[in-house]
Amino acid sequence: MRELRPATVDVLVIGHGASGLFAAAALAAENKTVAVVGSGITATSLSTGCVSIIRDDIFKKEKGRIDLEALASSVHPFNDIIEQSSMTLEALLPEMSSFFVRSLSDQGLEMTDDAFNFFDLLTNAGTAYTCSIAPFYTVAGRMDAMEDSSLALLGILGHRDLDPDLMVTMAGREVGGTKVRPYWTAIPSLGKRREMTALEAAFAFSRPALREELIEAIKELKEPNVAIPPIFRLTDYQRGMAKLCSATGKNVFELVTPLSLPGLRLQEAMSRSAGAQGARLLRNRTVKKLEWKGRRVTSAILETRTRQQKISFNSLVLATGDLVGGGLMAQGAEVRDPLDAFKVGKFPSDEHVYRANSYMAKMHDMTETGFLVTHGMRLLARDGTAVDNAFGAGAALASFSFPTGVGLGGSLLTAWVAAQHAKEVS
Amino acid sequence: MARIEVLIIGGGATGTGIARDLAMRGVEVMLLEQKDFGSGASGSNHGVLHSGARYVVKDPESARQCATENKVLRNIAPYCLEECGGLYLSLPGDDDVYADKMLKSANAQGVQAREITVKEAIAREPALSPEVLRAVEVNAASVDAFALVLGNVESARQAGAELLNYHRVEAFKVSRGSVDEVTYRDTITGEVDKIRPEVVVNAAGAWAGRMAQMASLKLPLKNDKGTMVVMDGRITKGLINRLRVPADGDIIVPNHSASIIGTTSATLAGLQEVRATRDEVRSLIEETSKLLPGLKKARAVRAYAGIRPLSSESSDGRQAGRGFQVLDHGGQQVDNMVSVIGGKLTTYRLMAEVTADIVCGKLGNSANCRTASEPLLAEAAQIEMEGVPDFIVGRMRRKYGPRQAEVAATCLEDVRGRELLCSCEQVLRGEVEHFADHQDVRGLSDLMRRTRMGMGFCQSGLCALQTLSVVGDGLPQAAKQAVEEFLSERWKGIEPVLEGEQLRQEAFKSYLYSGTYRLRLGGS
Repeated sequence: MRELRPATVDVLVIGHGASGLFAAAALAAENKTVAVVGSGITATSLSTGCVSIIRDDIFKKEKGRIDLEALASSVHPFNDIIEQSSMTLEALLPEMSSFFVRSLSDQGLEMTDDAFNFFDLLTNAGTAYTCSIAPFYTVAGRMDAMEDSSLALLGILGHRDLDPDLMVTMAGREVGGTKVRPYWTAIPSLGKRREMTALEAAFAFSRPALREELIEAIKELKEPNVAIPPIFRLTDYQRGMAKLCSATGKNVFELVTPLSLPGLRLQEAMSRSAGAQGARLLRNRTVKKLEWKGRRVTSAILETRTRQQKISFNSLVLATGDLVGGGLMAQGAEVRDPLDAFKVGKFPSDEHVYRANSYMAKMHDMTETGFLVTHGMRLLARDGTAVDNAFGAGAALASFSFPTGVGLGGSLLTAWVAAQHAKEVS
Repeated sequence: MARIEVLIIGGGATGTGIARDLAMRGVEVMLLEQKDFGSGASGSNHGVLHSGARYVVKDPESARQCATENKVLRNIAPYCLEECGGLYLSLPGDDDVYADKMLKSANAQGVQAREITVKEAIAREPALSPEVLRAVEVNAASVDAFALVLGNVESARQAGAELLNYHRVEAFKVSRGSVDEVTYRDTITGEVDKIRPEVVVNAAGAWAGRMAQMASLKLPLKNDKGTMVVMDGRITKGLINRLRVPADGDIIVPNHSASIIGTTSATLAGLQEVRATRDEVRSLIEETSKLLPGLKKARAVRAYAGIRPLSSESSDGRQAGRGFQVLDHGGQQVDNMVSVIGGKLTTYRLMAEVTADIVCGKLGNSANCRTASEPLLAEAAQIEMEGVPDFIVGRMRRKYGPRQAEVAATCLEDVRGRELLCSCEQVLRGEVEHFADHQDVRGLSDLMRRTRMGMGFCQSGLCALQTLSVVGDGLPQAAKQAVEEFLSERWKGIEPVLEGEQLRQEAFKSYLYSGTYRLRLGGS
């Protein structure tokens, strides 16, 4: 194995999903030298890309007022941990949200605050579909904007991301007063291929001939509102959607499903944003081992298949994701730290609503298990003592994994707090 | 009130086999099954077409029956079988005398069994433990029990029988020594109906005792729980058995895309719902991995349990014979009722024949049994499936036999029919479309039993939603409820094996289902 020249950075971030990239962007924006190491597909790219910084259900009815009690329960048990480090959520959230908006809108990712308020940010990466089948994220704003509220769901044969039949089966033929009709279209230039992923679809639809055929198919529909599966990459999104609307004279928007393009878009935007702030992204590398000096982690040995490199740092942010993202490992029935470096466990918490049956209890058990942190998001060593310069963020943390955790918005919050502390010690 | 010559209770292999047998003799038949066809013991065993070798020492009669029926089934329903062959293998500590006895008795019972060298055995099955001491080759095969049961249903219908799934018998009216009237209910719609049968056949498997009770009869029946684990992938070419007195964890059966390891044996106090437990799974993997060390690293996909309705008055579980009994209750003051208990999947046809003979005796019907020689389903001309890979066509053949042509036709009819719906089991959308409108299909599990969608290692990930998209609102329940029920039912089999990669997989599914689609899984 070839040894690369050792490198030194202020902060090493492990994990290149939303949390890791957000922490890296925040640190790089403060002129820290930051490297982000990661490999494989992130849970962010598998997500619907909906970043609700705070869920709408924890807001008081009056606009802009945060129900701190509800918020505390939603980010439980991090509220205590954040407050122990003399930060308050009320102060953190506006700073964090505005950084998020600024850093991502520079990358072409449109923010919609969907008539709620400043804090309830949904990226356009994740749009209406989840809303129609799950009332969790609402798209009320978008639907209300429709003059004639009949909606055509247009599936593209071979592209699985929007299955209009499934959608009307799940959500009914009338959603919030809007009449919904399913349609399928075959795009002749797609040829005979049987199936494609969202990303393949995005490449295919970058050809003008295919877009023209899609425009023709949309024109034939009698509904003024048309939902299509996601077919544009981030770089193409604004122009592409605008063209579809102007060429057809209809309100065309996309609906997304899990495993589709929107998560990839958010992933792409966040990587660009971290890069634009000056963070170095080290892709396709895994951390083989961490080196310690007393209660500090001092360096990491990174590996590709053929090469090895030692990176020394002042502080470490661990944002490796949960069991699904691969940041935690299931050995037998136990959830473990693949590096065997930090303490994994559960926060002592009250019995949770999810204990309703064995499925929810098991899933909750699993998602509750993760890296433990103490004041200032400091990770614990295996012996249970706090590590001076290593901070945890995102779904890797105990009780933070989706769906029983609070999703991307909550993960970003922990990443923000971790970054503030990592900054102090480096 | 409607009348019928014979009413059969129970739609497993035995019941549907009896329906086929009687209908082919020109008898007017109705069959009632409380759940889906083949969803009791017939669909929850390890799917072995026994050579008979397992029983030659303790139960020579069962062994002889297995040997004969093994040949018959190969002849009448080859598509339901996979001719994978089998090996019996002994390990250090296993009784050498038993091995000798088995070889000797096999000879005497007409069971094909031949000792081969360990070297030959390992050449055939490289995954075997190097500790193996002796090897005996037998002519076992693996059976697709769902295909077999559904083949019998189809064949019986072609011969004029009426078979209803999701119909539960509620009550018998017994007067003057015979069952006069039977009340039954459609368990989905709740509709109740009555029928006057000339003869009642109780082939209700684990529920046979309860049926008998309704006629104030008592059966010499012992329910015995057996647990099996589905391991991902094919670990062996053929069946692997431990060459010793039958015990827990001594069989590995390759079937479709998986390997099934089994079994356990535990007498049940009464009739109850059985589920595999984590401890049973661990001990089965532990024990079977002595023969195949690789099993310890393999991925357990699901575990399930079935009830063996053993006919035994004395001994429990493993000691009990695997023979069957057909009881004419004429001697117990119910002249027109016959119960069939015990037996094996391998001998189901013989059980049906013996039962049908007794029933025909009561009816004065002198027609002969034809089920041993006539193919289960008549061959139909096959359709060329352009653009579908050969191995998928092969899998369809294995699932549907001669009915493959009809299923293929649906796949070709629709533009989306050739899309892959379930990638683990390589099921096409058209296959699911074909069965979606069928009268027998009342829930997503019924589609799974017919097409194998959702049976693979991801245990119904995206395919459950795809299936929902096919069936739309064509199910009796609301779509969300249907998928919740289906996934919750799957969960019962996943829970006991939830470790390692399977745990990650399930966590991912929970992202998808409970996170995004807000489905409520695991029951209430």
